[in-house]
Amino acid sequence: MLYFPYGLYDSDVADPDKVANEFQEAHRVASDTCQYQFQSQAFNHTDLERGTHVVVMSAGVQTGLGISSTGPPVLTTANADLFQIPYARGLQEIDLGSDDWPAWTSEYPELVFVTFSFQYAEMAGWAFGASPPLEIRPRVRISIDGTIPPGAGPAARSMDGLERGTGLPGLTAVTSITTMAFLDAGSHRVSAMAGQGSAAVQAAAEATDEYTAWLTASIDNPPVDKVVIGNRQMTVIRFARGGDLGK
Amino acid sequence: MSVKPPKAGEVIEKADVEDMFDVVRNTVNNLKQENLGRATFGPQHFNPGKALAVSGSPTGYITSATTSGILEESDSASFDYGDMVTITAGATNETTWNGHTDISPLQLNGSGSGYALHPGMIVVYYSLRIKNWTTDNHWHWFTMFGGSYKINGGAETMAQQSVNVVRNTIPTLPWAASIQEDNVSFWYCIDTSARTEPFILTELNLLGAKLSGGTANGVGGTAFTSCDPQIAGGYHMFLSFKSHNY
Repeated sequence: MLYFPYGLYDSDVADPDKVANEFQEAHRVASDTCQYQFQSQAFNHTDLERGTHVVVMSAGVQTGLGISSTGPPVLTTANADLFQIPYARGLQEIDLGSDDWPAWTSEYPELVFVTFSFQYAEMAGWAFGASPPLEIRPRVRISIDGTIPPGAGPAARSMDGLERGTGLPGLTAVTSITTMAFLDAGSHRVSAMAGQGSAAVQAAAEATDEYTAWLTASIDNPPVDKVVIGNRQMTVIRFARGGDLGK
Repeated sequence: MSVKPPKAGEVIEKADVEDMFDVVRNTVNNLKQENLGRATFGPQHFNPGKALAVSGSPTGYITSATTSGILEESDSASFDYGDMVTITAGATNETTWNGHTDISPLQLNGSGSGYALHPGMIVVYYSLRIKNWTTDNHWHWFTMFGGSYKINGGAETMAQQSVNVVRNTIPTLPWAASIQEDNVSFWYCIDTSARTEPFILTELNLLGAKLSGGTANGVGGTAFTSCDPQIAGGYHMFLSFKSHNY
């Protein structure tokens, strides 16, 4: 990295060609410097400028389900911090209230780690005093720049006509969806999507009580209550890359 | 970078030579970030173990030349169904931790000395296996769990953004009405970037409590029956990223 020219000795005669060559050599060394001229382990990560190495972004809604020792969850729209998962409306972006989904503009390509953690809850089926479960099968996915990466989140397409395994099956769930992506330089935005697939009951005799709404409502007027995303946190960790991966 | 070389036939003064060497020296010594090309540096140029904002050598400290790693993780191999944690404390709601049980096998405390960290972002992950309830269960009941932390030996602070619940279910398994078998996982962040100097993360905890979820069937209150959820395994870890040049 450092270039030390010979210069002129005492009583030396300055040869213009020799001196000029030294400056040309200095210029060549400086211009051709790349990573291979730096010593292994020459730098300390903690000396890096803030925000240039790893960037952590976090967004979310901190909320409970309204449970108390004397009352059941309040999963209706009265609990405004909850996100009511739309029924038969495809995947829609989960609302973050006053917070915004992580969005940024990067000058360099980045390797991005994305994880969405959420509380899911439903009141239908096994409700307080209600009937056996309805197979609602909500799906939750990560969206990166409007694209949903495959494999992250419960959303498998049913290949056998059955609903089992095609969404969240329980009355509650607390889980994380994680994906990694290599994003080019430019503007990016990460969010999470949710939707309810078609509901089904395991037997006609189960079509009673609460989930009658799911079975009898017009598709143009779908039930909107009581199948929710509660507490939710999106974490994005961005690792800057100077070039493409592997270079 | 350019240097004006002497021309053939000119008389070269000592001062001229000194000036030109000064140009080289000043240019090299003032080399800045913007003078370096993209991909100039790779991970091979960084000192191992400095990727994360830590000083000292706490237990589990990962020495790595890469740009990230797990700073500390729980010894989950020793925490299984043979060493279950029974959540006996009842809470009144999801925000008032008036009663809680420590899930102590998953506590992270650097073998008692904590972790010397720089201000920045602490990214935490936990997962739990909620195996069963001690006796027959009820579908009105919930298990509540979340993380808490202490900084510089101060008061315990609940990371409320990490608090979640799972509802009990009536098992369809015929051999035990008390089995639940719910697995939960959650990532959350603790933002310490507003701090002005390095600090000690004294401990990072996981807490549990039970919620009755109502008075139906006579199970209201915080001391409902002697039936308690049991945690039979889990994992707890954090990464710390520095945000300032302290």
